[in-house]
Amino acid sequence: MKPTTIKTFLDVHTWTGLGAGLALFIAFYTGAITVFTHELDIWDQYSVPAHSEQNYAMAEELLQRVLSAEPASAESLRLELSSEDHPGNIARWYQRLEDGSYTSHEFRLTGEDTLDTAPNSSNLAGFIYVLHYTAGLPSSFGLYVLGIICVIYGIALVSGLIVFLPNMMKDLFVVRSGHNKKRFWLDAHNVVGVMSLPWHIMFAWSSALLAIGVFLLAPFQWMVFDDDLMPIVGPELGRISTLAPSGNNAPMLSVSEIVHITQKEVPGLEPTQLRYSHAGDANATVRVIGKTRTENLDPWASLILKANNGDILNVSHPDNKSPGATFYDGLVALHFVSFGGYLAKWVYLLLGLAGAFLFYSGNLLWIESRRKRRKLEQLRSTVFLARLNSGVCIGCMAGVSAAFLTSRGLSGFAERANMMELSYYLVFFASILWSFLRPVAVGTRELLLVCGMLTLAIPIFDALFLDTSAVGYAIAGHWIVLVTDIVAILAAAAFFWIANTVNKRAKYGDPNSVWSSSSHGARADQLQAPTSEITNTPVQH
Amino acid sequence: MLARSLVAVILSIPATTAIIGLFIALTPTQHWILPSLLMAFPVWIGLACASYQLSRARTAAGLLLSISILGTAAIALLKALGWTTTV
Repeated sequence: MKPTTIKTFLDVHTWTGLGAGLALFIAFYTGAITVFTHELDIWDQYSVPAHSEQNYAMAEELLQRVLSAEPASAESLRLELSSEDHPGNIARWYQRLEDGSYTSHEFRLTGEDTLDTAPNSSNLAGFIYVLHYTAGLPSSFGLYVLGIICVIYGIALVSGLIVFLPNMMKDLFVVRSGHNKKRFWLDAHNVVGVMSLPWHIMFAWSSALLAIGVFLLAPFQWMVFDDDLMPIVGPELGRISTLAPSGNNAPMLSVSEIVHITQKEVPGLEPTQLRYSHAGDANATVRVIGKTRTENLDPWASLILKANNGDILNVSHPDNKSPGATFYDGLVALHFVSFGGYLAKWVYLLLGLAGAFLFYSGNLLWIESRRKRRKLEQLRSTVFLARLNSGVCIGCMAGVSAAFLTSRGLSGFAERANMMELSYYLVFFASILWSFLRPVAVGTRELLLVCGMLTLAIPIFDALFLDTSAVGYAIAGHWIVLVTDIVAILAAAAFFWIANTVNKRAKYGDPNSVWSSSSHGARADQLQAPTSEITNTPVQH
Repeated sequence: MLARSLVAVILSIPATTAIIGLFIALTPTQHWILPSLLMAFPVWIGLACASYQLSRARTAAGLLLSISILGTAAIALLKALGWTTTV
């Protein structure tokens, strides 16, 4: 390969990485946690009064009460069925407002068979998931921004591979630590990038489809299909039009009858959700979504049936989907790791954290590449990126830990979900501000220490605010609190270790660097070392 | 770099649509439509990256526009002649 080609792709890789790296760090860190969204949701609900398991008859009772109390909800109502992990049936109504936006309503049956309309204050898992696909930007805008970032991410992957290829055999899986920090960060970046490349390709691809899939299809609609695309691919993508309401009322089959019909059609189906359209109308339909026992990547099946007589209008099962639907659902299943059980989830967690490291190390590599080796004063651009990198990345991690703490500590408050979100943003923006107010090395170390302390406080809060200890829950068969606490302690230890490493480099590392205590106004008393230890001597390794 | 990148990312979109659209128009069955559409992302990224191989942004723009125009014209011709059943 020509050197000019390598140089061009190196430039492309550098600028795409810098342009997308910080948002991708947030997406990957929160995405790694979102792998366990189901477990996190359970962790978040240990501190609220538990609902008891409810049966289909109670689901029917809930449905009828909601339709009676809120007749407008009949247009589109979701019934989430009680399960062992999430006991208690829930009815959800996404009310369409005049401005086109939606507001969510939630209903449950209380023990006294009355309708509980209080929204669930537990939203930690949902919030971290939203952070994953918006990076904290306003909802739909953030989704589209992340979609565009996926395109930049895809180009960064290809260009990075092209740059790496000529030295692949020499540099594959080699990490040279030591005097040359640029070499170390480059090797670390390459090892993580190459090891997880197939996974990154899948993620860039599936994320782009999920975030900006509509925009990817739009040119085909205009240039190829003459506005006829959706009727062709819509059913394969699970978008099936419901029947138009007739205007005549008709009684619907009960929940248990509907479940019985679907299980007869799809043996082994475990229904989790019933989505009613125009409930109570003669043309009412219900879409039953549930898990199947299948060897496919995607275990989800759905059936659409007429709610008043049980006529089946559509069946989507992983074993008999079209090639296109199998391809699409396979990509989505790979993205959401809906296969492979806990082993796959832990692998995804590690790969997600490694992905976050990839973007963090890419920025460090850029800073190290532009280091002025013979001058104390470093380039403004490298100082700026060092501050921003520390502020955003550590701020995101500290913010997530703060959200955990707020959600646990304020479990009895109605405003718990709002306060939890507020705590994330406060810590996130305060971290960025702090990183720009303090010298780079000092600010980074302090942020890491705060991040470590916030993370270490998670098991402490669990011990303080839960009725039963983590070990007590584990003995009773509920491992989630104990595992979360152990992971939090390990993460806190990692943050303290990195803070210590940053401190060592500031004290003993090359003084001509943004990471040195000697540059950018760092005072000796801002570090933990005695003044005499902070010297301008070359690297001591 | 910015001009080149804009050419690479934006002009690769109609070129991708033309290439995949032509493939769909030439396939005899509708079963291939969705899998082909799902390939839009890798083809888009592939074209965008390949365009950096050309020495000048203007050459890359010319090539991508040519692919777009020729592909779209070929699709229109197939439709006009009734030689496609899928689009």
